[in-house]
Amino acid sequence: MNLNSETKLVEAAQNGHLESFGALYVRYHSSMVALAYSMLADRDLAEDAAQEVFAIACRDIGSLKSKERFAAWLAGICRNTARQMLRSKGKDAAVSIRGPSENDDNKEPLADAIRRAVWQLRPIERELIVLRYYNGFSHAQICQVLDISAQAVNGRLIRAKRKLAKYLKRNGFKGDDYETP
Amino acid sequence: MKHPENNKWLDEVLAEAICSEKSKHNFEKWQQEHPEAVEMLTSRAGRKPSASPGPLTIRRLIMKSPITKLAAAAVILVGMGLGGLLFRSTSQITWADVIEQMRNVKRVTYFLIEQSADPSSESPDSFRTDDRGRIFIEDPAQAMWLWEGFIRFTAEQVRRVGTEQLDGVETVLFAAPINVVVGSTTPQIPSAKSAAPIREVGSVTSFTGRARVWVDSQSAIPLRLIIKYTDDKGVHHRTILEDIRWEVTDGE
Repeated sequence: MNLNSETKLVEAAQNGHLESFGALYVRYHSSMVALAYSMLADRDLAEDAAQEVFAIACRDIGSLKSKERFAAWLAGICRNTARQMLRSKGKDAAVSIRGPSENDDNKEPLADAIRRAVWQLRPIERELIVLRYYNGFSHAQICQVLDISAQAVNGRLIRAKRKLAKYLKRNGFKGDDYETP
Repeated sequence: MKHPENNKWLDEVLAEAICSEKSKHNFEKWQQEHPEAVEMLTSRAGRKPSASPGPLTIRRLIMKSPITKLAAAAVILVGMGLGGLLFRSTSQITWADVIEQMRNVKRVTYFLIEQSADPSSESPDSFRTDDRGRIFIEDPAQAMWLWEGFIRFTAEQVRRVGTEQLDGVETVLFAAPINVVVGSTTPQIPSAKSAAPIREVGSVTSFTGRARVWVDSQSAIPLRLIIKYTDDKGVHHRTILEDIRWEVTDGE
């Protein structure tokens, strides 16, 4: 991802260039949906949240000072928007923690167990796992969106996956070649 | 030892369970649905970029000449002296004052840094992680939850350690043993009322640790918080909440 070009896009958008904002929209829409999904556990709601995130960003982009941190700024808006949606929809953490269930097509026990395990992770780990596997975002993209170093992404991903593996093992699911530390 | 990161089975099942078809993004449609936002953005076209920040100009002016430097230093010293006098008369705040102030909180924002160090880890990657973000809580009940639920220490256990300067602000430092809840409870859980018990769902683990809180000596509101604890795997955790901003209600 070319950071220079991104900074230019942000600058252009701050100067009212709609096409540049459109390019940023296309670049980050999926990651915002994934981030919102990690909190809302509902794909439709996550799509709505992402739309709202870009509406807020469009209005407030002038207030962004660090142009190179656009993705992290957007992620901050996304977290706030998702929280507000959780509150307004009367959802609480219990819903989030159970993870997606009723609305999902896949009813396989393993997939359910995986999702339950993911939604029991700490929010920062859950964000990371969902970003990594929702649309297969690269480490570089995750670094930008979560505003953390590549080492932090690696370390946190390893720990989160260990927790998931332990949870699955406790619940009778185990990969043939998996070793827990 | 096989590295979990390389475990194909877990990768595959995670990808299957979480993976989504590419989310549809349609900027044209988005524009049609958000005409006001688009209007606000496009109205920025043609505006002049903002001028260079004022404080930097003032700083340059001051630093240009030794006389202005000395004058500025004198002003700062006088200011510090006055501040010290004021501080001595108002720094006798207690933890009860802090709790009282927080009961009126409408919203809180803070800057979060999370660090952890696993001494037994073979992977240098997992030694330390930083996480920064700003969290907005628009419900006073949640502010109380944040304080009395997440941190969980009672007024009797808090002791006053002393006074400290924090970013130019005189603060009173408090310390206390704490009970950190890690797991399914998160600061965004909306509790019904501040007095209601905190709802814990899913698996929750508690660890004991220590907290230090820097409280503004004038307003009795916390400005910085550091929590330290070690989890059951021996991993040391440090959570820092800084630049805490409490918005206080006007008694509605």
